Amino acid sequence: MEVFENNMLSLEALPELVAQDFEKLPNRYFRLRIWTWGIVLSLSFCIMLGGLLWAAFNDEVLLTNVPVILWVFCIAWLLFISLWGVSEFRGFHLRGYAVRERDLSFRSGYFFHTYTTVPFNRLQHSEVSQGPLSRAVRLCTLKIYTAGSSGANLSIAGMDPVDAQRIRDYIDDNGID
Amino acid sequence: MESIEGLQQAFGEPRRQHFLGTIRYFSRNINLLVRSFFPILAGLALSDEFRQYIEVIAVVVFALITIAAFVEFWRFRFHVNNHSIIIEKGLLEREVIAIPFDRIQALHLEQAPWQRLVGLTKLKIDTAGTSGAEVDLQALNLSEANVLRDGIMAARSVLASPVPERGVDSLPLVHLSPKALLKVGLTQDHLRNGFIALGAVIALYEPFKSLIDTWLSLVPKMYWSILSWTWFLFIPLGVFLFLILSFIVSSAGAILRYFNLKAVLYDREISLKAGLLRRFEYRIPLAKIQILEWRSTLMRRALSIETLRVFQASAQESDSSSKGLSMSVPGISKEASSNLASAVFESMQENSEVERIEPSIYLYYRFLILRILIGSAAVIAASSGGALLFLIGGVIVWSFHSARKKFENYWLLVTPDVCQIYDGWLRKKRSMFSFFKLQRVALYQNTLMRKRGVAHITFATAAGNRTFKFLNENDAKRLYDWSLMKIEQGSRNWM
Repeated sequence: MEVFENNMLSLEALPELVAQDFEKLPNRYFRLRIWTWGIVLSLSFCIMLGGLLWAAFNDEVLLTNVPVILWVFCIAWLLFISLWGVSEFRGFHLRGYAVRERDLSFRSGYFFHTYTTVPFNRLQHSEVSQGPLSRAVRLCTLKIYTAGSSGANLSIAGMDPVDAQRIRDYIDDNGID
Repeated sequence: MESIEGLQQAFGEPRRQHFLGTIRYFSRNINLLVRSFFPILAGLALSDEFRQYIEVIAVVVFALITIAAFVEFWRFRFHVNNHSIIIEKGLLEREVIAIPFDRIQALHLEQAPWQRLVGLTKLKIDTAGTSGAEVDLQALNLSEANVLRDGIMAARSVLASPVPERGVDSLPLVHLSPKALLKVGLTQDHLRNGFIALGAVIALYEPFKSLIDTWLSLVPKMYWSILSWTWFLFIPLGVFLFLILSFIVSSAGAILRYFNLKAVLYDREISLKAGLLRRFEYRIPLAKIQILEWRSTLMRRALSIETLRVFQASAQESDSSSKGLSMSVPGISKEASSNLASAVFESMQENSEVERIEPSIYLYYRFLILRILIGSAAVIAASSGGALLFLIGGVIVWSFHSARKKFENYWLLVTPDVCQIYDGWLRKKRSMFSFFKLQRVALYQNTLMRKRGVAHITFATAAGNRTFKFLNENDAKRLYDWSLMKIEQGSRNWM
């Protein structure tokens, strides 16, 4: 067995991940997410407005007679949609990945923020997946698998396929020892 | 070395298992059949037309199952070459599975009661990747199984990078004498086991509902009317019966499972043998151990024993609550635990530098608020009037005390190589793992936590995740960077 050196490192000397600049995802992914949000918003808004109008023009159900639970549901739904919107608009610039010499990090989320780092020497395999929609807008999902659990351990949605391929090539060349 | 040559001689050519392996296939098929068609079978048993042909159907099904078991036995062949074990199997289509020795996590021997009578054993092969693929050898002569097991273990350690000898041949960790076994049995989680047994009774009641109803209708009406007035008298009796029954069930379960348990620490592996009816023998190489976890209850600590769980890499999703792929050693003493820990984490004793990291005070507030809210809600729901104020006062005092205790008993103990998570007040839990064996790390913060500068950190090992909550952000980032450095710098094999 080789001699394993284990000199004490001062913690300040450690490369710090959190302060590093993360690579942002392409803007068209942002637009795609906003479109999804917008479509859900307008659809649900139309349905609610339609229901209200129907109630207003229908003599049997008066606007004042609509059950309270329905109002509560509408308000909760609007709250959910608006929080979703906030997390999309303010959270997108927090979403990003960083490739270092020996690991890949990903961070995401506005209300619930997560940092994850997978070192390349723990990687089992990687996968690039692309649905019809994401193929149309030239995006893909990079999934990284490590041992110990059944699902993907790190999955970066909305990457440029070229970048994803570059990362995979880099991993193939340097990663698994 | 001689064990490897013996392995080649005995298992070099493709061969079948012991003929009695068919019994195992047969019983498994019957089990499968009954389980998958249970509702249909129950329904058919009541119909008259079915009863007419029941003999014919039984004979046909029986014959089919027998033939299937025999064919499955016949088509199952296995042999070893220099670096892997090769299994050919398949009822209709042929399947060839090659498992390289260095992918084998551990080999376990398990003997069902009937197998012990005829000197056979089952050999379970644990691999890291193939969850679900059944590659177990169902019936082998005990001596042959030992040759195979020891041979594979020896061959694998030749393939793997040599591990420095520790100069200890074998060190007994636990030997449960009848007295110690009684201790373990008495300190089982009786209440939980009782509820599980109760659940089983209720689940069994459903299919036999009509039968029980017929019996109950035989009881004269008079008794029912008496019962309807005096039912509350039976509550204490019922509770008492439940307690006694759960006590008996769980103690008996522990005694059956852990009878004559012997856990021994060898140079490179841990072995565990136990069982009264179904005897099993597990061995896990020390290098494959991902997490060690000790649990203890108030009663067990009073007797100064703990339960140790040894986690190895598994393909199944497993968090701290589910069992994962693990081996459980009950009744381990403090001294044996520290021996094991220093054997598994070699660098433990050399590093004197230990840092204790405590969670942020916000965790205490969270414990406190949750306890007060839940406790008060329960009290308000259950009582009213003057007693209410009194009870709420009690809840608040208890909340302060237990939140403080819980907070004080939650901390991280970090040496440069090993991380330990201490958790729990009455029911204690302590997990221990090496930084360099981690698979990945993650930090988690929600908006509130970000404002207050706290974060959760998740250490993902190949045997499941361990999370430490409400760390100060600086400590969390420090640990995060430290773990990454340890993983990326290490060239040692993690499994």
